[in-house]
Amino acid sequence: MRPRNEWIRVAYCEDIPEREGREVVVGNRSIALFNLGNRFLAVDNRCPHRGGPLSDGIVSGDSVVCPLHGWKIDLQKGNVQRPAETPACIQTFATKVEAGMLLLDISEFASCPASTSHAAVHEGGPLENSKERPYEDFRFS
Amino acid sequence: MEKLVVIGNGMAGVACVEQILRHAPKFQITIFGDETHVNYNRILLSSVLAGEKSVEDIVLNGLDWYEKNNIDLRLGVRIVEVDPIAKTVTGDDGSLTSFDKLLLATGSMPLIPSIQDVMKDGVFVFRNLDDTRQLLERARPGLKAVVIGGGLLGLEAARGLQVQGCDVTVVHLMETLMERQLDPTGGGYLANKMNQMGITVLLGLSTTKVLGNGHVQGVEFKGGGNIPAELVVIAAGIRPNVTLGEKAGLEIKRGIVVNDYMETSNPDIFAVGECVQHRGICYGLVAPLLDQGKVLAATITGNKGPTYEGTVLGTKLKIMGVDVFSAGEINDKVDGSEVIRYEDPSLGIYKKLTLKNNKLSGVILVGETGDSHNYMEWLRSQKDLSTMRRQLLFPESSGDGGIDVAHMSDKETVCGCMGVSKGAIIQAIHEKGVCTLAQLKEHTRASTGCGSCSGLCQSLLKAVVPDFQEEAKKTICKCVPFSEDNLRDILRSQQLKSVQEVLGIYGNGLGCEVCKPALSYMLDMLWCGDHDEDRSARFINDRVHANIQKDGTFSVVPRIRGGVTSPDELRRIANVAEKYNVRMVKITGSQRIDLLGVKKADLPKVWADLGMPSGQAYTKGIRMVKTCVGTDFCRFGVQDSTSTGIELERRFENLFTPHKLKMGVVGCPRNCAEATVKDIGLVGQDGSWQVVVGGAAGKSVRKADLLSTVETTEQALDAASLFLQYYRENANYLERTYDFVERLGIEKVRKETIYAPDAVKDGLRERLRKSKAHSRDAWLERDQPRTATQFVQITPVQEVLA
Repeated sequence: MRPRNEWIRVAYCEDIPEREGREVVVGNRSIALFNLGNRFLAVDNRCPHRGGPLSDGIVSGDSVVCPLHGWKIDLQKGNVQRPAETPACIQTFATKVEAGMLLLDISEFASCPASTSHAAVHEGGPLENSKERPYEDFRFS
Repeated sequence: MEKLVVIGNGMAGVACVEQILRHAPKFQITIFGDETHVNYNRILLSSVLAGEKSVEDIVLNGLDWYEKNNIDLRLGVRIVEVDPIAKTVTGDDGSLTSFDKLLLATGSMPLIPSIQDVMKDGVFVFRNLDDTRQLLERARPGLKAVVIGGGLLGLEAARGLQVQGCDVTVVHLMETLMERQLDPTGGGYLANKMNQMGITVLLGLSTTKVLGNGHVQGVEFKGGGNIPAELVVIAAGIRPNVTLGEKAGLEIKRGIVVNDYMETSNPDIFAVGECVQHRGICYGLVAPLLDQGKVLAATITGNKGPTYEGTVLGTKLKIMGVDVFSAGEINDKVDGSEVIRYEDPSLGIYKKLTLKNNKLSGVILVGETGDSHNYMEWLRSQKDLSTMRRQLLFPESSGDGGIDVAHMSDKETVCGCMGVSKGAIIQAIHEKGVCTLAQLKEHTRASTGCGSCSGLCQSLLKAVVPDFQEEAKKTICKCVPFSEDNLRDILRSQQLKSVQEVLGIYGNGLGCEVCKPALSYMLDMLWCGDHDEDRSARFINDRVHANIQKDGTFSVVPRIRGGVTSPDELRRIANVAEKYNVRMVKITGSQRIDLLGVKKADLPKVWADLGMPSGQAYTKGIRMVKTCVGTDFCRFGVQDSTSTGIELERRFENLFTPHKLKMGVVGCPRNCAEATVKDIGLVGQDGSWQVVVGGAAGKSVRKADLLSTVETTEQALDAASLFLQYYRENANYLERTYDFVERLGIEKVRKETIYAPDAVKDGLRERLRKSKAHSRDAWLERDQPRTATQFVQITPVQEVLA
């Protein structure tokens, strides 16, 4: 049976600028909160590729692009959109807004622990076989 | 040879003459035009008003065309009399010209509704090039402009005036914009889009009076309300210009009546275009004129046979970013018709197809018109759609780029304006060796009308030309389907100042990690920093002014101009490194010091403790100037490289560039600081400087090209400034100088920078100066963060047990 929702107040909505993400640490778990203009989404703040901070990524529609190597993650479902056909996935969390306050449902914290390994799924270069712009283009050196 | 006199030098008359010339030579041709210009594309006047095209761009037939075809062109002469018995025409210059055959292509004139005091100064119509020029002269930022008429022309005029900076209101008599082409829902979507662009739309208002004393000050509506106006454009429709037809004694109804052979009631007088009425219809668009012209050409040259049976009209609104298409029946209440529709209010997309007996009878598209040519073809061919019912609104897309083209039959029209079929284009490709869009335009006229078929023409070229090479520059990404050159023009001409605005109007509304930073740069460059910077559109490095590392920490590189530091600065750096447990202190390849492993939350404190400006080592911008010790200490130095390098860095620092930009200054040709492999390098020589550009020693290695040799340090800095700004304005985003210089060729770069006319050089200098004046040290945000949470990690409002 699905556990009952467990809402906690995590942030003032105004502290998350539109189309940006912010990190909030709940307990000892880093969560990325995103303001998509008409709603807020929350996911584990850890890219399944090399653990990059998703809260620092650029938002593209309902997805975020990891700032480290350009993996693209769907913020609603948690699946990886790029590189294509990557089975990895991150945990998403329900949110709601009450009185200007953003609430996060932490009921699934226990059943779905955050991954701890830095290289969780795919080793090797990201997007290497992808036709999209190679990641070096937006990596800063 | 018989004498053919053509009255009217507009699109219809000249297009018809072009068709006549295709037949065996039979006539000595004289064309009278009451405007003083050669034949131009009238439907693009709105693009001229909107600053997208110049007057030269819209010329269809230059003077050389008239000469080549031995046509006697009489410009600025208005024909006032036609004598059908004596077979002569009289001009307002007193000239008398005889004819064997007469062609009336007198077009139409603006319909002026009965409005009291309409003749005031400041009231214009929008019909020809002179009207357009007058509007351009009057239009200025902040001017209150009112456009009366919310049809195609009125809306295009409104947008044009708005682009010129006017504060525009459209007043429309009906309750729906473009009610002849759109249903109320479609009109509503269009009105929303106009509002979004900042144009006020007032519906259901009848304008009764122009207010003001001599010069217009406002307009008054039925019922008494009024609004202020300093300029009024009347675009309430057109009516056929039939005066000369009447004088010639022809049968006239609303227009000059013609039959299917394009003959009038007089066998020696013909008429074509907007002035005619065919099967009860007067057309006001381009496609029918061309169909008519072909038939008329056959009839008049003695090859009578082909008939004109009317044209299925498709209408496209030509406002960049506002896609509207309509064709066929708009009334869906006709017996037996079925309606298929799709709406997405947040994306502003509305599509409606009306079907009758499984055949398309009408289509309305707002917000997305990519499939309009499919629909137009279904309408024309009356194709049975019963097997395609599931895909009607979203015709399948596939990875096969040539599939759209493959689906078309050879007969199918590609360019509706100029009436060019797929077959004709393929023929031109094979027979005339056409392989670019420009050549295709020249040979077939395709895509010279409204231009909306240019994508389709490109696909055709790509599919058919044996060794096709992509001529269009690649687009940034799928979100904004324009080349960067094109986008810069659009943003400049449409006065767009924020990334979201650009994405909303010209893109998919969302954007991605590729286009957002590119657009951010483009706006910063175009408006010299005076724009609405959207941090959410920038990479994390540009949000927090540090370089993100693999573990999510950041690196901090303070500015050390020219690589010259001091014991005091070094002490501060050392203190900071210890205080914040910096994991590594590293001398970079660029003569800078890098502090690695700083937490985001510590960044503002680190900057404050350093007390040094940002070294911009994290951004696509001016990075650094590397120098050698030059004349101060070096036995060989002939130029003062350190102070010149420091000055160079001071002049350019804090600016953004298409990609990172590194510089070097060396005091002698030994080149110790490697200036010849930098984006911009100054190489000191005895008594002069060599300014070199486009060098690289990274992923690519390239020796820089010599831009120029100059005598003084100030001249060297100036040459570097000209190149820098030229690169900022013309390179694609993420294009390093070494690719840029190679793409353009150093000769072109020299021509457009150091050898450019003074006015051009002053322009480059002035825009660079403006950008520099708007730029600032990003690390000052330590005291004034952009948002309360720019650097801090949010702590849960409610405490949670770990």
